[in-house]
Amino acid sequence: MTAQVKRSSLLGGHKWLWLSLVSLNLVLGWAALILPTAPGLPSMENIQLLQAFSEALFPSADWRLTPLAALEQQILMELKLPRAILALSVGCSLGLVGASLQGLLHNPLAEPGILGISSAGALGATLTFYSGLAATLPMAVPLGGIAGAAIATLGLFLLAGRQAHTATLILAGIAINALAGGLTSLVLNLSPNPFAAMEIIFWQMGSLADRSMSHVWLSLPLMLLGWVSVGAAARSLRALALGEFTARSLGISMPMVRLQIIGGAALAVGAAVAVTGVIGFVGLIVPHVLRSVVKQDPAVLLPASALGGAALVTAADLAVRLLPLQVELKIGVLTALIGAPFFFYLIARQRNTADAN
Amino acid sequence: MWRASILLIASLSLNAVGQPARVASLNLCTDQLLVLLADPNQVASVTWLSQDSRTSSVAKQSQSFATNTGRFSDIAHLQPDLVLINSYAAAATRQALQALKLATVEIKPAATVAEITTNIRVTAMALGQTERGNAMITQMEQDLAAIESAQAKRNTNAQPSALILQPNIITVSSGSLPSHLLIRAGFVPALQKFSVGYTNTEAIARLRPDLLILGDHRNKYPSLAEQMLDHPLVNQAAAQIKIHAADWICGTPRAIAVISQLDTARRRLTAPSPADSQ
Repeated sequence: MTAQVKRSSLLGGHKWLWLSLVSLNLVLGWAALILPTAPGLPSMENIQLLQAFSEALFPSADWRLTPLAALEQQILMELKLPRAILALSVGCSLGLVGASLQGLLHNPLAEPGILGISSAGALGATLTFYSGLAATLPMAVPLGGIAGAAIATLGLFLLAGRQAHTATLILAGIAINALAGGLTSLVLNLSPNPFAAMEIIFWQMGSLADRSMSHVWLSLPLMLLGWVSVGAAARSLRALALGEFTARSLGISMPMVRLQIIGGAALAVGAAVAVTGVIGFVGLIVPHVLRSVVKQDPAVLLPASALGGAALVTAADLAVRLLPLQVELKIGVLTALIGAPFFFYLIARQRNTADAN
Repeated sequence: MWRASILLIASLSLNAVGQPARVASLNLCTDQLLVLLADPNQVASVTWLSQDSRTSSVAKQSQSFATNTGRFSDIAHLQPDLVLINSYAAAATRQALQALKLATVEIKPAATVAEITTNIRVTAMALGQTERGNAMITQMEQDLAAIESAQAKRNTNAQPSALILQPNIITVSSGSLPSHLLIRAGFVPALQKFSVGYTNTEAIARLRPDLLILGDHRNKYPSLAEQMLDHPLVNQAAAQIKIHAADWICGTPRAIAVISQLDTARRRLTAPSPADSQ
């Protein structure tokens, strides 16, 4: 692997990449606020959007605009805004964690969904939610998700070892996925609530439908902590791309890097899964698409994957919102339909490289 | 008029007073008619759902009866004289009943008050309890007439809109019993704008019904489906009432009580405010 280690600043060398990723997210975020949550419902007008935000920011000011229907404002602030924030932040978490795990494990197939981190997070969240704990302590659900994700990530390291072969790591991921998925189904089946068993599909396929601002307040701060933790490892990952021995000689503390990434992954993915369920493949597709664009530089790949993940999840959520179906499709169905062929391509490419050696 | 189809496959074996002695029901709705109309010693088996007060209006009376899970295999050993089934009974159940030549009465789920009375009449006749059935129907008709004459006296044409909302943001479809009862009570079902049962929070918010009708039961342990009803956008309708689900899952005399409850809500919604009357 010939990673180019540059001394340039993270932002300097890729002006066009940042410009396009940021504007893509701005356009998608704007569309998520303007467009309806189901086909056949009216879109919001730009002027209404501006007015709603102005009124929300400065409630006492006189804006000399036609008074916005209270309903439009409510739909924006209590339905579309939390949904857009969660799509962006959950996508950001998944893209960022995918890129950082791929860098840490030197493994192109590392991804929170495939490694079982997401499903273990979902298990933690279901345990705290369906037991009724969340009724008295709402924070318990994201904390449960984080605990589940942390246990899975640590378990992965114990099962597969630090420098695990790709196959070993994926095998460990399959085992964790199977265990967490099975236990989640068990929790839902054992719940005395008759609706619980039908909610397996939400936890396994994910959805952003009908989330409210309370879900944002519960998960976003924890996701932010996770991003900071993973982001702090960005420069170490750049050194790590040259090999663990070289990284150590450059003064990188490997236990510290692992702690930053594992802890950050657990925080970001656990908190995300706790409010949206498992949305797979985002952490796999995004870093792979962007890796060649950033010339394999892991330190640049992390923020790029974060922005790319945010854009992918927001775009996928817009698609499930607007698909003309009677029941809204779960967003994970869409990311799986995009992601699985990509996964096949990666496997084929890996095999070709192996054959060539 | 008799829209419930009767399938008397074999001649009933009747007791001394001309009633089937051991009657089993394989459906929650036929359970309730059976429990309401039969003598307790006529009841051989009802479904387990009929003992659950969340779904059954005869939960108390059903506690002492043997239960089944709606499958023929559960009642085969009882050798019932008569089996009550719903018209959506599983094909395998029908085949088994036919193969054993068991007397069967098939009851179509009622979607209107008229269909409820038909079902009562048919079930009562099959049970040899015609008088009890007629008395029940008369009582229902009197209660309904009392509500309707009071409505006529109030002389208001206002038809507020109402939306029935169940966990998972599901509304009931038009043509169902709840929808019929809403119309009988003088409401316009807000769901008429949708052709489907499933709907979406934004769509619900945009309907802005005058009345939101929710179930009265909340499970002790949470579910996402029920949590959706707490979304600030759902919970904003001007007025809300709660209707006990067991009162309108199946067509029973409780339907009249539901009309009465809805009528009270409509009276409150359409009553002239004190400011208007001055």
